[in-house]
Amino acid sequence: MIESGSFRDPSARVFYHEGRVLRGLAPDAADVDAATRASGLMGQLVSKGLFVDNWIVDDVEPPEGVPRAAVVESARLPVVSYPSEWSFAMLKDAALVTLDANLAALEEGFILKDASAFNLIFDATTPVIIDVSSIDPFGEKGIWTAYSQFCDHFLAPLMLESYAGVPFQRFLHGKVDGLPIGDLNRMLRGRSGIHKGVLSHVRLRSALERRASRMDTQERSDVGGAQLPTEAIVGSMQKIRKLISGLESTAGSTWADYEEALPYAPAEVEAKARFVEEVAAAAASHDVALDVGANAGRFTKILSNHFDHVIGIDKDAGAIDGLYRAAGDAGLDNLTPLVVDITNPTPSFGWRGSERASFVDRVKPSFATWLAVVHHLCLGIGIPIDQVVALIAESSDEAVVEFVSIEDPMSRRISASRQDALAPYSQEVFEEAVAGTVVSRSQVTETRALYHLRSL
Amino acid sequence: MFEPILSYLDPGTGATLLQLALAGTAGIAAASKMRMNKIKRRLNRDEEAEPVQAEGHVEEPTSTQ
Repeated sequence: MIESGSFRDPSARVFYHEGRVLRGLAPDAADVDAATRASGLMGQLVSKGLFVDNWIVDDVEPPEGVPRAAVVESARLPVVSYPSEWSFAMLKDAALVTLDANLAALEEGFILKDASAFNLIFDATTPVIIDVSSIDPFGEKGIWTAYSQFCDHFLAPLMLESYAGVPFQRFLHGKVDGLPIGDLNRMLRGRSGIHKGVLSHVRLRSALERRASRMDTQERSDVGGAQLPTEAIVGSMQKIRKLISGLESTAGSTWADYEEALPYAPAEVEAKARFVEEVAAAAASHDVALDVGANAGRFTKILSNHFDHVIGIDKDAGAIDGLYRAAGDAGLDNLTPLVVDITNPTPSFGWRGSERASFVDRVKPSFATWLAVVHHLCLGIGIPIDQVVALIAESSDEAVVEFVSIEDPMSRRISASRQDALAPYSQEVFEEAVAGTVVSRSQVTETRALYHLRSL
Repeated sequence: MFEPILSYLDPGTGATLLQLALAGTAGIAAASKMRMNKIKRRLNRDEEAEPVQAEGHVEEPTSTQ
């Protein structure tokens, strides 16, 4: 099967064979690939953790239409995620990996030919470049061809969240080409425009783009032939690296506010943890688990002890950012936190609507937890219970679901400003909807109950 | 060592100009080279244009005679 998202680079195409990830290379690309291996660059990029592990194979025949001068196999990573699903720290780390790989490549006379954020995915909490055929020879002089793409995919969204306090995810949702610098130039008005890097990478750049649009073909061709020595390119990249290292999110977290206003009782948290622990240990399959509404990841971490891989999702980018840092610090190598709004998960998008796969097509858990989520969906957003149960049922074969009654302080808080009538919401309606799938049930407090559901 | 491969990603004219602007002396050198190309082209254009003018000058008196 040929990967639908790999058509842009004609010299290398990704295909899958018996669960293996492979790339068929055209003769030119095969020569470059051989040179990166011979020079020791590829080995260095892999050992530094910048590139996914990859090697040449000769036991697979590429499918029709795929170049075949050489075939490279890559290690398969459990979760494919996209930039709109990353938190600030994740996009920032991915940007730094992209720059570090370029700096390492330039030392050996190579450069990365593109700087798309889709070239990286997270191996648990470590970003790695998966596009192993994105290296080009550079020589001693040239231009950083991918600079503009790097800005749109990394610098602009990071600056937006750091300088304007706006979470970038919604601006990348369904986008293949990042956030254009020209758009950022209009967004960073007033005081947010005085921050580091804005004058050069945003204001001056936008002015030069306007100037370029007035140039004739010959003048553009002259600019296209411009070259800088390697040291100048390295210097620019190091400056951008320093700029990005200093960026911090100023967007805040809505969950942090919640937890401050309505903290959970320790006994309740413990009872919940015990139930989840027991059910997870006895799960029918232990491959992939999904924690919906992961927040700070208290239960995601529990699941990580019982499953090969766990994905914790939450629409609150601030909470996911915290979980990403905590999981990384704890060295959890099977937990991937992602910013996903379960009411609007990433659709399939890009060229012909299928260049990038939807979240639902990429993440196929056998087990899921829906803790303190149902009441947010029903009372906060107004989704009927049977719809929520249908989503739970189609997401995994086995699940732990928490039902929070309308009398719970959090339920009251969520629905406090609602005057309109909602679809019926009660424990009876919920139990009717999940009837026939309940393995066990635990009433944790007066207003909160946990259900273990199977083969929904 | 390698055949030049036409890049599949367009570096962009404005983005290239900015890289030159941020590259200090190396950028100035590259920009002066571009400027020189432009001047050379203008001179070439003038040189190519001259003979045509000269012909006109020659033809003018013959036609009045």
